[in-house]
Amino acid sequence: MPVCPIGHRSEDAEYCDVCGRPMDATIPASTIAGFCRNCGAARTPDARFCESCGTRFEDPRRPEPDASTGHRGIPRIPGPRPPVSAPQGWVAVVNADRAYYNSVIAELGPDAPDLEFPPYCPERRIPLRDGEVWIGRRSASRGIAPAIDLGEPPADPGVSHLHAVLNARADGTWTLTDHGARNGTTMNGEVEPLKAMVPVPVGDGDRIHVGAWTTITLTRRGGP
Amino acid sequence: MSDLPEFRISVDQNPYLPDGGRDMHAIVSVEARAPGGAGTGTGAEAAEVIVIDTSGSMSFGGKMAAAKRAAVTAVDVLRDGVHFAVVAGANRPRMIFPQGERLVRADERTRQSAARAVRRLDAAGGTAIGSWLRLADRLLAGHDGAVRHAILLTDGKNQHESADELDAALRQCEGRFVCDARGVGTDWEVAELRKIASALLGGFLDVPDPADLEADFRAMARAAMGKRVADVALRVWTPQAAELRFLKQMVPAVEDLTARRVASGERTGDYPVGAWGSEAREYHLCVRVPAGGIGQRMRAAWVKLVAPDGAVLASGNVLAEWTDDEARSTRINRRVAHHTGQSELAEAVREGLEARRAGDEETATRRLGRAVVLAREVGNEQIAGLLDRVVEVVDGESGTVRLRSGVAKADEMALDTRSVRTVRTVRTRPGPARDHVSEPDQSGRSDEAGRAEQAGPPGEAGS
Repeated sequence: MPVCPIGHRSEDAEYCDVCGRPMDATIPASTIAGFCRNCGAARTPDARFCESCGTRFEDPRRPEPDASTGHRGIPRIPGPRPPVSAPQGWVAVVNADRAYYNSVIAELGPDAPDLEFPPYCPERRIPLRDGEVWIGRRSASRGIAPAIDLGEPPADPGVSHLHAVLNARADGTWTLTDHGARNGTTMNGEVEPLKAMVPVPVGDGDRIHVGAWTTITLTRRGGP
Repeated sequence: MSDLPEFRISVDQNPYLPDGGRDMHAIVSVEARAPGGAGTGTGAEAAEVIVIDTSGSMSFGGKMAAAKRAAVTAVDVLRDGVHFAVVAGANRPRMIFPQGERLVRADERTRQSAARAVRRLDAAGGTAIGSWLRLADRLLAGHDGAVRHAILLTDGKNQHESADELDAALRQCEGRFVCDARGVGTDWEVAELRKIASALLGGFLDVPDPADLEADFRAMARAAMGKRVADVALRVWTPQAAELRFLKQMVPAVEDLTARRVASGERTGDYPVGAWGSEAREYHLCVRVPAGGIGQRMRAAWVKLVAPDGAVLASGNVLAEWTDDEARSTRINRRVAHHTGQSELAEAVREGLEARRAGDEETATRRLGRAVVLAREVGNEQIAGLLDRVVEVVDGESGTVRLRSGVAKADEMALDTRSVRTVRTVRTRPGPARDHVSEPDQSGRSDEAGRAEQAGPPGEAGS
């Protein structure tokens, strides 16, 4: 069945059966941050509630793709869905990274909030068991439970609840997508953050910097 | 049915909405052309019940004699093979022809027998319209698939049963047959007949002069014979999270259909519109859609005409597109404006007359003054003329009026009855892909189509 520009299935090939959009429309991604998953209305980047139907958005900067399809490369919200098989042997190594912390503090300058580097933060090794692995902070009230949970003590205050996502590809490699996180995502010591919603390929040894001090290093078969 | 009319839907609208705009208005015109023209032809299978008020008051002013002539004329118009009956209404309904509670096939012999039975009628008793309608419903019940139609004539208020009984009868009959209602003389209740005709998807009209009944009945029966397909519905799809704010029939008369929605799918609702022959009707719909971004286009509504078997007879799109070009988004579609004015006119007349009856002169003066302005704006000269008999127009521009005293009852009833009858907008350019092309009808030919379909009397009220 044809799928409309925001991901509804439609029997009519001219206008979507669900939202009425022309089936061949292109969505000007620059002007909108996504669509309400309840009513399909476009949403602005800062909207916390849908202007049309009042649905609360989970993250003000995160689009709400239709839950039934992962369309236009927008990562899906975590939830029940057919498991994607993950390539074997990958592990995310999570560290409090002093060098990254220093660069964050330097960039924030004198207005830096009171961000203490955690005095004790053991390395964690998290196997990538699923084809879709979220980096974020757990929220019981919103039902968010990312596999790489940076809300575990010492919680990194600079990490969004749904910060970024690792997706397995068919060829056994991974992509990383910043999910429009407030403080962004950088890689391998770069200063320039990743563009939100644009998947970038990642592989063995790549370092992912999020929040105030967290660096996640991807490794295969034990790694460093 | 092999000779289904050919239906066409065309949509008039300004599809442009400003940033954040959500309400889209459109005029949906539905036109049906029967193959072989509008003549009665062989037509569809039809069943007709003629209900004549025979309460005691009918014996005054020649009403009974006129009603009998009218009923005979209507029977004469029925073509061979149509199933029919004639019913006399009083405290209880009574079969006039045939004698048993059933319909008979029209032919030379049955038409003559019916005429003889009608001529023997005498007026006696009261008025219990609900019970008359229930009998019509029982008579028509076995004729599903046929065009089922009743003609109801009364001269008085529904005094011999309660309003609840009438309402219950209307609920029972709704969707089972179409009923055109006529009030003769000036002792009947406008609101009552309006309710009946509205519930049963028919027209209603005042016939102050009994002499006009015959021609009116002939036209009504002819129109009924011209119907080719029964139980048609407008099916309206609206997108997710949209809301159909209203759907009103505007031509031949204002009739708000919004509350008649029967859900027919997750995002579709059906609105019954009765039987169709060769005729044209217009609908005004307003849909509230989720706001879209500048440049976004969408289908705001998809209107289909569906036959009882589910066949789609015609369809049309109501579109929406958001633009930051104010010249586009602020443009007013003339036909939408025209029909908006006619809706408001009908409302102003009704409220003005209600206030006048209630003795609230201030409200009556204000509302009827507004009606004078609107009648001029939309070019509804019939209503303008009728208003003239109820109010004295001091300044037609501003709507400054004075209530007349000693208004004839017939004039007030005519205005009340006809306030919903609209004038058609005239298209200045043919073709289905029109945009902003209509002009209000300035010719003064009021409700031409309404007359063809609903068979108004030959003379205007009181003229």
